[in-house]
Amino acid sequence: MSIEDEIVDRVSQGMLFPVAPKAQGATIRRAMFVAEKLWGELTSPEGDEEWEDRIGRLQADLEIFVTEAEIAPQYLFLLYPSADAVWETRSIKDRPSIRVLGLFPETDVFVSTNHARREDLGGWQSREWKTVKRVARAVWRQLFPTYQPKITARVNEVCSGATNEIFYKDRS
Amino acid sequence: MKSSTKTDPKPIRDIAYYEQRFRNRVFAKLISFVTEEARKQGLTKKDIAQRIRKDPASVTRLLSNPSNLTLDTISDLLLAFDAEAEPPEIVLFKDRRPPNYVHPLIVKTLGIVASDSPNQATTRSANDAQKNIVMSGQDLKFRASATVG
Repeated sequence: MSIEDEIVDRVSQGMLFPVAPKAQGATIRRAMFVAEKLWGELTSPEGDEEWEDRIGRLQADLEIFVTEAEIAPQYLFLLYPSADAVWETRSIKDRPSIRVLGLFPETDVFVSTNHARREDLGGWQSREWKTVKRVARAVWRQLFPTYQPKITARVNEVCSGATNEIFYKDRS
Repeated sequence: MKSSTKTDPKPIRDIAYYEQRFRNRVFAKLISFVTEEARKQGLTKKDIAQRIRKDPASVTRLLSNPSNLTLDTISDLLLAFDAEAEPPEIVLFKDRRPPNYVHPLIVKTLGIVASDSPNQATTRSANDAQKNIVMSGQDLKFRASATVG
């Protein structure tokens, strides 16, 4: 089975859920699949005002990957160590700031494995960060035992249209 | 999305979603333009900041997060490149056409097809497809039978 067939199978088993743009007519340039927990939050029954606002914004932020032609450098980050191939997207408009972790089976296909509130993670070297990265790899192995994620440090190799950030480096 | 009755309040989730989507799209467009134009003109953030009489740190802030943008700061940034934005195009939901491209894996899993696809007759909106998943998501199972194409 190809990795694409594996993904379709995991979707049919209710282990992964495709993110479709809520706004009608949006071009679906890339594919994003989220694991059960995040899907449960995106489709959760109506909560209080704060929750509703947060989930609406989270959905819009996830859809950036799915719909936008250009992906800004602030959107997608490869986490250390790069050999683990765990990437992070951020939804930071309102508290709590949310980090969504995942791996790429192929270019333009993101499998989101787990997510966390930034405030729960502490500094970059914290045990909590190590734990969420470990969980991301473990979920991947559980989903796709025989497939390795795409390993590269170049964002353009996992996401077409990712903006090169060289311009941001000041010459002075 | 359902059309509104006269006094029907929109769900907060929808309001937040469309606010954020609009902000994200404007930000993406702006970043793309600024990156490309700065490269062409050989400008750094410091140069841009000088042109619009701001400090480089505030330009960094503007370019780092969609939430930091306002109509005024968008105008300022564009002016740094001798440019301005046209007013946004406004589209009624009911006039929206199906997407003109759909990633093949989404076609396989959700059955949404592009407007120029030969399978257009079976086109369902992303909204409908999502709804189908939400409904079946009560037991968090996706109904494979819902897939088309």
